[in-house]
Amino acid sequence: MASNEIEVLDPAASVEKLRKIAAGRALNRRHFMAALGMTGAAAGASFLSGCTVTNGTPLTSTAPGQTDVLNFALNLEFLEATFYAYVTQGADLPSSATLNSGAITGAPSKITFAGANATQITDLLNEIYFDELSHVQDLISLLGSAAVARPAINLAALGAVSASNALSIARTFEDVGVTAYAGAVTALTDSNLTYAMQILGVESFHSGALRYSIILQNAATPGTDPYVPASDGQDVAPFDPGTAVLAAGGPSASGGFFNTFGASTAGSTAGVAKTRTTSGVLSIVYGGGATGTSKGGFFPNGVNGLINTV
Amino acid sequence: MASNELEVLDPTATVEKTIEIAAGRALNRRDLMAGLGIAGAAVGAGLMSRSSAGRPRVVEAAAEYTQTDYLNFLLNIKYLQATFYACITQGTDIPANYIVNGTTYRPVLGGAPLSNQPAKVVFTTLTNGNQITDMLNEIYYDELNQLIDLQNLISASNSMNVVGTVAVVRPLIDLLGKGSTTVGTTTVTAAAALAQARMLEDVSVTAYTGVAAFLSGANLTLAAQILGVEGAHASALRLACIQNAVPYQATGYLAFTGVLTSGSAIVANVSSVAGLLVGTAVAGTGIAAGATITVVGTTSVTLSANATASTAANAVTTITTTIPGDNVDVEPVDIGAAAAVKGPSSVSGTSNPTISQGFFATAGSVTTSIPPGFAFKRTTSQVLAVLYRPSLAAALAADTATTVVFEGGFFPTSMNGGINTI
Repeated sequence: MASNEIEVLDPAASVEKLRKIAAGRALNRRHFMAALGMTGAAAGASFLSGCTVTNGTPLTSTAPGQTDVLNFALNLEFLEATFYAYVTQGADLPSSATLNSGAITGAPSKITFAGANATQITDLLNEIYFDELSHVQDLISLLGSAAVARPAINLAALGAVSASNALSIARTFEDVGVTAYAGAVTALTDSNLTYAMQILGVESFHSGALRYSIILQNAATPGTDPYVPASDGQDVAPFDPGTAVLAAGGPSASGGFFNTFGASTAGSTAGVAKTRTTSGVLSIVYGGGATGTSKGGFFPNGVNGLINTV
Repeated sequence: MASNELEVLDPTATVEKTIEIAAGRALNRRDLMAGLGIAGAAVGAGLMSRSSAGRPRVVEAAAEYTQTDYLNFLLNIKYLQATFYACITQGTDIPANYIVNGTTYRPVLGGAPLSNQPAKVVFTTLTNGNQITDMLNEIYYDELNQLIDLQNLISASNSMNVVGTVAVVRPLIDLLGKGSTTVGTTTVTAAAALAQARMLEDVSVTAYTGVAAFLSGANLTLAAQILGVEGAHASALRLACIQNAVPYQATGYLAFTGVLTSGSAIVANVSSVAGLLVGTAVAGTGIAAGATITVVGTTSVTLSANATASTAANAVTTITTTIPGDNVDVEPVDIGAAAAVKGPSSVSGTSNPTISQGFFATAGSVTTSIPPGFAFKRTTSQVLAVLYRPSLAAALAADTATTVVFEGGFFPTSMNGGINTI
């Protein structure tokens, strides 16, 4: 196969095989995750803790497989894409992406930005929307009949969306998304892994541009884009603490250009993105729920698929 | 073809297609250097003095790369980035001793010197210059710490790596990618520094997406964590480039058309000057061998030598630059909301037809070899085709079974470690 072709696994045929492979690797993964000490927020939680009874499906002895991980990601992409669809187009996603969807609430009208860089921000968000819609379509295409439908989404879970907080809420989505993918990659292999990394790359593209835009916006008009933090505190505010601080230790307690560990986090790997477990991510999108929470926040009925509980 | 497969469509000109086909063959080759006993950890490795024109290929059984090889490959790129940012933001090389939370690290590991080492750059004259200055300082901090993170991971003995494996030392680096082995300093403008920083970050992203499938466990997690920041660096720098209309530094060959007049050094009616730089070598029918660009206008360019033949009446001459590599890149441009909502694309009439434009280096909605909205990926060969900057002739020759390209550009005496050839 030429180096520029992609290999797409047929999920319908491979799900069971993937489950068995994933189960076999599960024990090794548990050791690596523990040894890393880099699982971000949810203390004691691991990727494997997502196994639970859902919608009457009996508890199985196999760990969540690659299909489940990709569906977990698809739920997050649905959230992001739907948000940007309303913010930039004033309308929902194309119908091909919303088959059997849950209800969408808290959707804003199309946002009109004002002030410095307003046109550029508008254009930027349109390209971000293209990317997120593409991620939804690409994952649906990859998963085929195994793809979950879009769950019910409340877009106003972090506040009614307006011109003053759209960038900041978007920023939160992208930075949480980066940590979600970074935390999930060791559960994936081959082309699934490569795709996840390629999507992770784009989430980080979005993060960098949004954070820089917010910093410039607040520099021009202070307080224009108030910081919307991720609920677990494992998050860095978009803020410019100045050259000396950044060169010496990366982001300060006030924030930084990039969402990384700084020197202030003793014992952690500096200069890199954080990782979150699926539980850690779900806690955030469910509005800060504790272990056992299965719905809330952006997902009033929970996410779809096997990985759905904090 | 199944509905979930994507097909490569190549609508571009014949010359571009030839380049792609040749490059495509070259890029599938395994590294045969392993068969020469240069595999694995290579402290201070190097092959002895080599001709820059390439060396004979020894056909041996191809060895599998180890995860350590891939991590050392990424480490070489990180040496380049960290050192570049240290020079342009601090005015010095990366520190020999670097203290993090009471532990002293040695980032350079006693490695090689530098050529074309740029002096500290003043960015405050740019639009949003204060923020750009601060951002670059944070990027420097990130890259230096990622360097240490990689060194620590490679050198740690754990079940993912062979016990006793060490990280490779920094090879000789030409910080402006000119292939020079002459140790020394230089200066670079703020715009050029931004353009190169942008290019290196976007190339870095594709290096990580490209090697990911070969990594697992702690190696994969660190790669993903670094990728999560490289992308942010890239896009923030792209935005700064857009806000300052910084001239694009390309990763690959550019093709454009123009009209030549025999005996004149001027190329008229140039289809696009995007990405063309003073000093860029060019080739085409009627262009003198070795000619370079001396002046970049808006609709014309001037060459260092007169054309040897005129373009036929009512025709155009296709001219290619000989900056090597590929065209898996997107020029940082705000193409407007109506176009951006369809993803990066080549905006006709204003841009080079072989390069897409957009806020992010992703595939657009035109059918390509990767899914729309995804970041690109490169094989190690493709990354080196960008960083070694071979001439067009050398790159095409590398496609044959008789030569390899193993040095040049940013790494004038090759990368260290098991992965170092195109």
